[in-house]
Amino acid sequence: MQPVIADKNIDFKLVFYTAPSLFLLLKPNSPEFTILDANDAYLKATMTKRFEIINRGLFDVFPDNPANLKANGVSNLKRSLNKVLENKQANAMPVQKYDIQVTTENGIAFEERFWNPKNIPVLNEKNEVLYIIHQVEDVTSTFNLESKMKIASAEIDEKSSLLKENEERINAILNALLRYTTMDFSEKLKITDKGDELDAVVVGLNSLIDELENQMLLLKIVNDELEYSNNELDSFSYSVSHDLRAPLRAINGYAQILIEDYGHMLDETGKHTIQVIIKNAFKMTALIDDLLTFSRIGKQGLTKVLLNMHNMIDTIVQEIKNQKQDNTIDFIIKPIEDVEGDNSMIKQVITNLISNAVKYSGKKEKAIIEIGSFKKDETLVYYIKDNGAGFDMGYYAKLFGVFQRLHSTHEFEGTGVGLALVQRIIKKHQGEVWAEAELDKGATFYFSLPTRN
Amino acid sequence: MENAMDNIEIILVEDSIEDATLIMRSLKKNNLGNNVIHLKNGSEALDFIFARDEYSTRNIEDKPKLILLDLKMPKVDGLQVLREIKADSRTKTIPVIIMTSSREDRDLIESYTLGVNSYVVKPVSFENFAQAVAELRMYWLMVNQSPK
Repeated sequence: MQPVIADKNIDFKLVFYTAPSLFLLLKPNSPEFTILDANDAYLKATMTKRFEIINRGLFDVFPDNPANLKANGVSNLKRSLNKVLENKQANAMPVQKYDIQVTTENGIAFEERFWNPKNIPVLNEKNEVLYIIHQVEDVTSTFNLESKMKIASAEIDEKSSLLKENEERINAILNALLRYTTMDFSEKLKITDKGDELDAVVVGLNSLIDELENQMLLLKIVNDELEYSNNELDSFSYSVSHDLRAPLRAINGYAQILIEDYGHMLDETGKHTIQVIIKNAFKMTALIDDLLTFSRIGKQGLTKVLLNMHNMIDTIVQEIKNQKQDNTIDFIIKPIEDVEGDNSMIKQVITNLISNAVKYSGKKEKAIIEIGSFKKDETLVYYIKDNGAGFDMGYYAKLFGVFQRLHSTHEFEGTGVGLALVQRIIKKHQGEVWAEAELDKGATFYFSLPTRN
Repeated sequence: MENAMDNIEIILVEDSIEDATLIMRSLKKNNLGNNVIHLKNGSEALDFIFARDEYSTRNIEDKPKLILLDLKMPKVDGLQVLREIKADSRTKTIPVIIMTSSREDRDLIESYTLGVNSYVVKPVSFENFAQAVAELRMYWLMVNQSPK
């Protein structure tokens, strides 16, 4: 068999030049390491031309970037090449950062490159180093990835600090909201120069607060007016209380004098006339008193306590029984629920309603008044039911009006304030008052009180 | 007149002639009508009590046993009179009863703050008014053992 001999015509130089990896062929003349040749890939990567670098010392062509004091590419490469000479073995270097000197429009510049170099000795039969192949793998792109990651991480840092900043801004907004709930608008939020969504929120919030402050100002004006008119009303009822009573005392007192000192000069009609004057003076006094009570209730604040309703109703019924001193009324008191309310006011309500029931059933032979309570939704409902005169439901709208009466005073005494007062007190308690009645059959009055605030 | 001002039992300070007439009538009915002097307004009351101007010849030490004081009077009102009586050591021991038409709390509170001894609401009928005054007078005469 003939030995296989490679084609003598293979153009190894061309193969070397066009090999895809980066190759530099060095003369083993330490420390210069003259460049014998380089392949195209190497020239392209280093942006050099063959004629510029051939026959020049390696470190003359590729010195360290003098601006980079930390540059150690040259010394690392020298060490590796010398090792190759010494050991006659290939030596791989760690990734090197080279600042490749390039010619740009503005003159000479250095470009950062990351190379993974390997130095391989070419030996002859005598094991002498003929050449050193300096092979380079350009890992700049890998390193760029790392630097991109660094940039990305820097961006993340920036983003997270922005997030933190935004979190602080959100906290400032939340704190401001918390302050605003206490009606403290002294400190307004500031908008930043960012003009972002948070700024938009702050702008919206600030305009909302401005509006709220405006409304509060308006409310204060209305309140001041209301307070003023309340004060007016106050001084009005004060005047009524003083000045309206004074002439009544004179009318009654002088009529009394007439009876006492001149009664013997009057006949029965004359005496009766004076009695009518006196009676009406008292009636007017009762009206004034009721009206004052009515206006006082409006101004008065509620002092809510848990009321023992059964005891309260029992006491009132007993008082009325003692006053009437007859047993024509049959009181039926059902189990009564307790409720929260203003003691004196609710007592007034019960008193008025029971008194009404007694009054309007006065003409019945046997009056039956039933008092009870029941739960309804979130309220307790109390009722006072009688079998008395009742009223025509057609006039229901007038029932709770001040000075409105559905019966003449000849039939039943009264000032027309009682039910108005009941309604006013119950409304103050956030409750309701209503009634059902039928003429001559009786009436049932209901009032409800909320069981929770 | 001078003589009548000694041993004054009751000073009635009342601007309403009608009320004054009715009160005096009621006091008389209850045998309290002797040595009652009626003063028609607050300023006159102060002049009398402190022996000033028109009453400068009067001895301030001739203290009345009781002052019945209307609350609502023009210019110097009852509270002002009360304030001055109770602020002066020479007069502050004289029992003062405020009479008023009003049941308003603020009058009551203010009167008691200023040191009033009693407070009566003028009734529509003065039938029992003198009775009440007589009882109050008796009470304050007993309580108030002030030096003459």
